[in-house]
Formats: sequence, C-alpha cells, structure tokens
Amino acid sequence: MLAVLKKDLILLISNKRELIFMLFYIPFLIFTVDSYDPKMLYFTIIVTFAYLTSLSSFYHDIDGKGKYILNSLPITARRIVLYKYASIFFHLVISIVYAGIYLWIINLAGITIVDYFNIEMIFKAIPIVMLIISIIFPAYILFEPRIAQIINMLVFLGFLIGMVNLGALGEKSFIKMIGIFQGNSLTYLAIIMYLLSLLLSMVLYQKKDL
Amino acid sequence: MKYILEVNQLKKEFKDFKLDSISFKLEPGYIMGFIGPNGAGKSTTIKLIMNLLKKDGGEIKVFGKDHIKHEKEIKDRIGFVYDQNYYYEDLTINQMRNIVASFYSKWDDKQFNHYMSQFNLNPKSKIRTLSKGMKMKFSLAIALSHHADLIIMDEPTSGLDPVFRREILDILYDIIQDENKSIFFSTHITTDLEKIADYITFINDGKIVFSQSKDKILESYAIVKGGPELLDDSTRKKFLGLRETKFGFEGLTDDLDLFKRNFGDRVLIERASLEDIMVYSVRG
Amino acid sequence: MRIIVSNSSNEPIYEQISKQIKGMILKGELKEGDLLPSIRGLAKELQISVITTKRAYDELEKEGFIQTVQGKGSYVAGQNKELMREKKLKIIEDKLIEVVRESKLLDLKYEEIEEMLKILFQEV
Repeated sequence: MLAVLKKDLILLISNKRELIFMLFYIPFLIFTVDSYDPKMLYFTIIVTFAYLTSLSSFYHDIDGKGKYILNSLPITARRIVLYKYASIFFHLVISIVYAGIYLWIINLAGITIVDYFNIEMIFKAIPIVMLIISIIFPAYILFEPRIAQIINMLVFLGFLIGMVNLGALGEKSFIKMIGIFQGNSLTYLAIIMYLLSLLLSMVLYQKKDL
Repeated sequence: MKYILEVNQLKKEFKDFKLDSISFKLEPGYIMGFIGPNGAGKSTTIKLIMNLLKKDGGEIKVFGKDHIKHEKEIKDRIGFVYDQNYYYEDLTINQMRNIVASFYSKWDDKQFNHYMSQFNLNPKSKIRTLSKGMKMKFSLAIALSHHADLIIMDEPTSGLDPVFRREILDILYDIIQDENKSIFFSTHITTDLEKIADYITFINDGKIVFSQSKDKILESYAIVKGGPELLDDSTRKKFLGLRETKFGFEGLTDDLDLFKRNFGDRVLIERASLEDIMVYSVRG
Repeated sequence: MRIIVSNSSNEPIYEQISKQIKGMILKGELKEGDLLPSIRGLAKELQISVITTKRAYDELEKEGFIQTVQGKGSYVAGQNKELMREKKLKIIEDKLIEVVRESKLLDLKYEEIEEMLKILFQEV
C-alpha cells in the first residue's frame, strides 16, 4: 500500500503538467470562485484539489499508461481498487497541507484575504470528496475514457457552479435549500455511497479488459 | 510440475478478431518462441495469460495452477518484459525499482545491482532519457531480480539492433542454465529464435498453426526450387506456400519425401528457415 | 575438446555433435570416465537449443559411447576394444564407399585408385 502511495506522490511531483496545474490552480480558483465567505473558497480548493489529484492517480493506474505494469505485478485487481479508494484520504491530506502553505503565503503577501486552514470546512469537505469519487471512479472503470471524461467534466462543473451559486446567493442558494446537505445525514450518505461504490468498482474492475 | 505454462482451448473474441481455441504447453527448463505476423494474436495471448485481458473461455495454468485463482502467487514468480511504451517515463530507475521491489516477495537487490552494472545503467537516470535498448535491458533487469521462474516477453527485441539482440540472447541462455526456469518469448523476428528456441509455437490469424520442437520443425519443412515446367495443378496443391516467377518456382513443403520421390534431382531442396515457414504459411 | 557446428550444412546439428564426440572417443582424445559438458552448458556455448544437445547425447548413449548419471552428468563409457575396432572399420568403409563413388563419376578404373593408394601408403 505504501509503495503505491509513494509512487503516486512521486508521479505527482515528477510530471510537468501536474506541477503547472498545481501551481496555477489555486489562483485560478481564487478568481473564479468569488465567494461571500472565505471559508467557501477554502472548501472549494480542498475539495477539487483532492478529487482531481485522486482521479489523476486513479486514471493513470487503472486505465492509463501504468495499467499494464501495475496489473502484471503480484497484486489482485480488487486490492488495486481498494488502495485507490483508500488513497483519496492521503490526497486530502496533501491538499490540506499544500493549500494551507500556498494560501498562507498569499495571505502573508497581502494579495487577498483567504482562509488557509479551517477545520470546519475540512470536515465538510471529506464527505463531499467521497461522494464525488463514488460517482467518478466507477464511471472511469465502466466507460471508455472519453465518456468518463465527459462525466467527470459534468461533475466538476456541477460542483463549481454549485459553489459559485452558494457564494453568490448565500442562504437563498439552491444548495442550502436541499436539506440533505446538512449535518450528519451528509456524512452517513457519503460513507454508504463510498462503500457501495468501492464494491461496484471492485466487481467492474475484475471483469474489465485492460 | 509437468508444465510450467499450459494454455488449453483459450478463447477470446473482439469485434473484428478472434482467438480461436488456442492450446500449447511449455515444460520447465526450455525456451518457447511464440511467432506470428503482426496482428496474429501474440500480444493478445500474452495479455490473457497475465489476466490483463479477460478470457472468454478455455483454461490457462501457470506452475500447474489456475492463473486466475492463484493470480497473485503466480505473478510473484513471473518476470515480464513488455513493449517499452508502458513504463513510467517520469520516474528514475531507482524510483521504479523501489516501487516494484515492494510487490515481490523474493526481490533481490544484489541481483538487480549486478544487472545494473552489467548493463551499464545508471540507477539515477530518468526512464524517459533511456534509449529503447536501455529501457529493454532495464525491464529485463527487473524481471530477473525477483527469482522468477517464468520469464514472459512480448516482442522484447523489436526496434533493437542486431548487436543488442545478440546480447539479450546471451542473457537468456544464462537464465536457461537453470533447468527449473522457462522463457516464453513472442517475436516476429524469427532469426532470434532460430538459435535459441527449444520450442516454437506459430500463431496466425488467431489460430495455432503448430507448436513443436524447433528441431523437428526445421527438419520437417523444406524449400523446393525448380523450373516452371515441373508445375501443374496437382503439384501446385502439394505446396504449403508457393512463389512462381518466369524463371521457376520456390515453394514450402512439409512433405520432403514426396518431392524427392517425384522429382529427385530435377529440383533443388534447401532447409527452410523459420522466416520462410512463417512467410509462406501466411502468404500461401 | 573441440566441437564445431555448421548452421548451413544439411546435416542436422545434433548429428554433427554426436559424430564429433564419437570421433574424439574413437581417436582416444576422450577417455573412459571423462566428463562431458552439461547439455545446457554445451547449448549455451554453441548457441543452440538444449533439445539439440540432449538429442546428441541421447544418440551417443544409445550407441553405447556415453553414460548419463542423473544429477551428475554424462561420462565417456568404457569402450569394448573389439567394438571400437569394428566401429573404426565402419568409418573407413564409409570413406572408401565415398572414394569409389567419386571415382566412378570421374570414370576412373580400379587400377588407378590402387596406384594412388599405394603411393599414399608410402608417403603418409
């Protein structure tokens, strides 16, 4: 497990495209998600950063270049999927640390006021990331990459739009109106969806032609 | 264990290609060459053995065990060498080694370092910077550093110069000194196999044409050359593959005695190379 | 020990090997009890298939020239002096048959060959 995580980290750092993304993504979000509440900005950054890096490592191993090598090593398909699902928490930690440092520097430099660490938001972020991953991971296993990418785009945009909407309308926004996103029910839903998604992914991946 | 690799009635169907009930077996201690033209199904077969593609029917046994039920323990003992496009280009050799080593129960760092120096590879270099040949040597080093008993190679020498290919063959000869290990080696460069292979399995268009000891194959086939006057419809049918020109004909046969009897000294009979056999069988 | 194989000869490689080893035994270059190279080692040195060397050794064993001990290797077998002489005679006979054939192709008469032999017996 540790080896797979180490590999993800190394790949993240070694790939030029990934590095550029990491560098410019946060400023990009700062501009687009003009939020009434700096907490929301932080939330958006953490969620999308964790989900995108998780997805990138997932794709690389499951369907991308790494799939033949990884699946030829002595590891079962189920375990690969399990590690991928478990590793999103690792990616969350990286997001929190990375975003924290980046935003802290921005704060220090006085460019704009941003929240660089917010426990409340972190706890809200975790179930949201889990929910997004629950949809995206099986999609990538089941569908061919192009279709999966479309689904990914839709989910990502949907989330961003939701955040922008929330930021703009605050209490009156669409999201606040759906009670389901309040409190503990969100966490339970996330856990259930996550586990179901894990099982589904395991079954699908075992049958998949690489 | 009687056979180190056993493929029985293996089936796989794609939209426009079918692997049609292929079967062959390999005993420990021998090298099997897997030949066929491009698109014949060589890579597909190897991917099915490694469970990268999921079979539609049939049975595959490695080390006497079902390749799906015992997938993890089997893969622990297999060293694989694929087309080099599948590597993690952004990593260094050391980083790649660290990742791979943690998966194998019998990883041997000493062996790996020995191969690194034998192949003149710098462990700190990024995989992306390696030439084709070096990438291949690197993957061979990995495949040979965890006490694997079966080495599976998918077109490992294509794109490499003959000097290089000869070096690889030398390494393979060393491996096979251990009579418990076997090598399964797919290629369309038949000259590599002419020397080293013990067995040859020839696949064409998703079907096995033959799977036999190389010596027997080279003994059974021959190239017959003669003048155009010797050809008529009945003789033409006796060839497996035939090429006619204004000046004569050249054909492949597996029935040498027939030609010797019927034409004796009027034809020139030569040994057929694996390449001849492949080309004539495919072209007809 | 000297073994040279030709890839382009029409003679199968295993036969070339067994012939050469046979020759060495008959000439006394290989003595009773001498250990032969392992089939795998020989295959590697000659860059041929293990099956080929195995076949050569199987042939030699069948004809009584060598003995294989499981786990240890192949040894030159004790040669029955009578048998060896007979085998050597057979080799000479084969060579003479070839001489006769060639002579007939050139339309040489027996007497001319006899002359040649006489001279050679004196010179060699």
